[in-house]
Amino acid sequence: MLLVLVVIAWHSVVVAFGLKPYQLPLPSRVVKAGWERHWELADATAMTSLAATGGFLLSLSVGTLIGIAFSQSRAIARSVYPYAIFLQTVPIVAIAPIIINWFGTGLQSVIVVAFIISLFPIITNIYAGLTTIDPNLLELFQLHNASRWQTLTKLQLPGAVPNLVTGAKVSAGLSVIGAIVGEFFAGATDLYGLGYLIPQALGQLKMDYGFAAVICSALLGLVVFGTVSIVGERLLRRWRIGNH
Amino acid sequence: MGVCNIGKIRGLPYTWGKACLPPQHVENPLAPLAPQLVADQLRLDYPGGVTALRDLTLRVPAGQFVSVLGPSGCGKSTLLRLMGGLINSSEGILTVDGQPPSMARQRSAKMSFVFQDATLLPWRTVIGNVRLPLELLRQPAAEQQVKAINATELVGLAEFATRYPRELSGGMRMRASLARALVTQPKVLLLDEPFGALDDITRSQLNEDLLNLWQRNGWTAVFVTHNIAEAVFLSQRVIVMSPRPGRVVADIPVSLPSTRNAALRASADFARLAGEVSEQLRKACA
Repeated sequence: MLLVLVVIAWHSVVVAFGLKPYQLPLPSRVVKAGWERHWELADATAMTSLAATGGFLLSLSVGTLIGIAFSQSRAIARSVYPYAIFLQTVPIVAIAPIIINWFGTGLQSVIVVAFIISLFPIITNIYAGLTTIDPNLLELFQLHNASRWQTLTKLQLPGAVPNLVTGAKVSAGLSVIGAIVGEFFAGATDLYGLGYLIPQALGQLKMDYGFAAVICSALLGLVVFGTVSIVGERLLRRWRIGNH
Repeated sequence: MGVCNIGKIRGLPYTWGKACLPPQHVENPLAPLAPQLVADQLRLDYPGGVTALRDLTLRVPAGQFVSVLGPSGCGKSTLLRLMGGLINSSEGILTVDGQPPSMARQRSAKMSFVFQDATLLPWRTVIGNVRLPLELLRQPAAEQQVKAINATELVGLAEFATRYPRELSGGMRMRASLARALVTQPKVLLLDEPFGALDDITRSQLNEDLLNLWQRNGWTAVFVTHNIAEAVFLSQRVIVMSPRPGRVVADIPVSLPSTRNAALRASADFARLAGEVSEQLRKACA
């Protein structure tokens, strides 16, 4: 419904102000341009989603391990946490060229950029989940002489799953952004992701095609976020305590 | 072999000879004098200068059911946590089976704790929750399953064994929590206001079931509560504590028949005892 309104408004603006196609193309032209080169767009979207998924899965596993390390030792958490915050505050566009300089212009660099930008939410969320445990449950484990490993695997990790899901939702969206930014800087070598297509199309003043690519990247973000949310909700069904 | 030294030194392994009598006929002269839980001049200071307990002295014989009553914040829960070896006292002596609680817990006396909330793991079924302590104690898997099923039956939750906590009522969750405490066949059961959040009918029912279980299993039970009727109904003895810093101010034996049922709550004896406990509690708070 809202989508229809947006398209109508978009169309009216173009007509009313007499905008040229290189300024703002008509929605119909965007659709047409997208359809004419839909294989190329699909390939680019697949490429970007591969890089984003790779970066996201890397964040999920590395972030979880870092979170566990933090939860096991206050000293580690205190000394390493500031560097984790660095991940959050450093502008990705500033660091992406450096990464490409280090790792080359291939898929691996794009995955690394996606990984770096999506890592932080996983670390903070899982760390919070691992360390905020019902004190009574900790006492229960203590009472039965549970080892550190038992407490981690039977109490802390399962208890942190809801936090991990929250972190994963944020991280999944960021990984798409990271992949596109990475492709933007990696340029055309062996991969033609959306982050390469968009500046290229705009540079050639093919606004309609550029818009189609932007829409594809937005859709990709939605699909990734939606998938992670649905999987997360499925997983969390067992975690709900109920309302008593 | 052939030398009989049963009862000579308590706690050492017995040597059996042909002349020895079976153990149930041997009167151990030390047994009645050796309470399972001993607190002597116990003191606990929290960092920041708050004294939770001071000069608390209490002896609980093996197999006794003791309730602890007292005003809010008098250190009842703290006392339970000390007994479970979950925290350490600042001064005084506290032993379980003659050893510090944390040591007793690992060696001789299995202890279980029932918390105010059911504190079940939401991602585990009832049977999975009940099995948890056995997993932590690394018992063989087959044994775990059998014991968990037995404990679940004991509290009347057999048909809900594969349900998740969110699918259960508050009373059923507390039953599951009780089963989890009983599954290790503890010698000492520490209960921290376990039925406080339940409605009256569920509470009475669980009181009767708990009493029944105690009569069949005979653990030493220390039961912290705010409810006078519950304390009198369940216990052989009611302890009243003073406001903080907590110590024992009254020790009331409950001389009611050992078979107790719902009708007992309406009896004159019950009312008299409840009145006495209430009076002591009022004095303690004054």
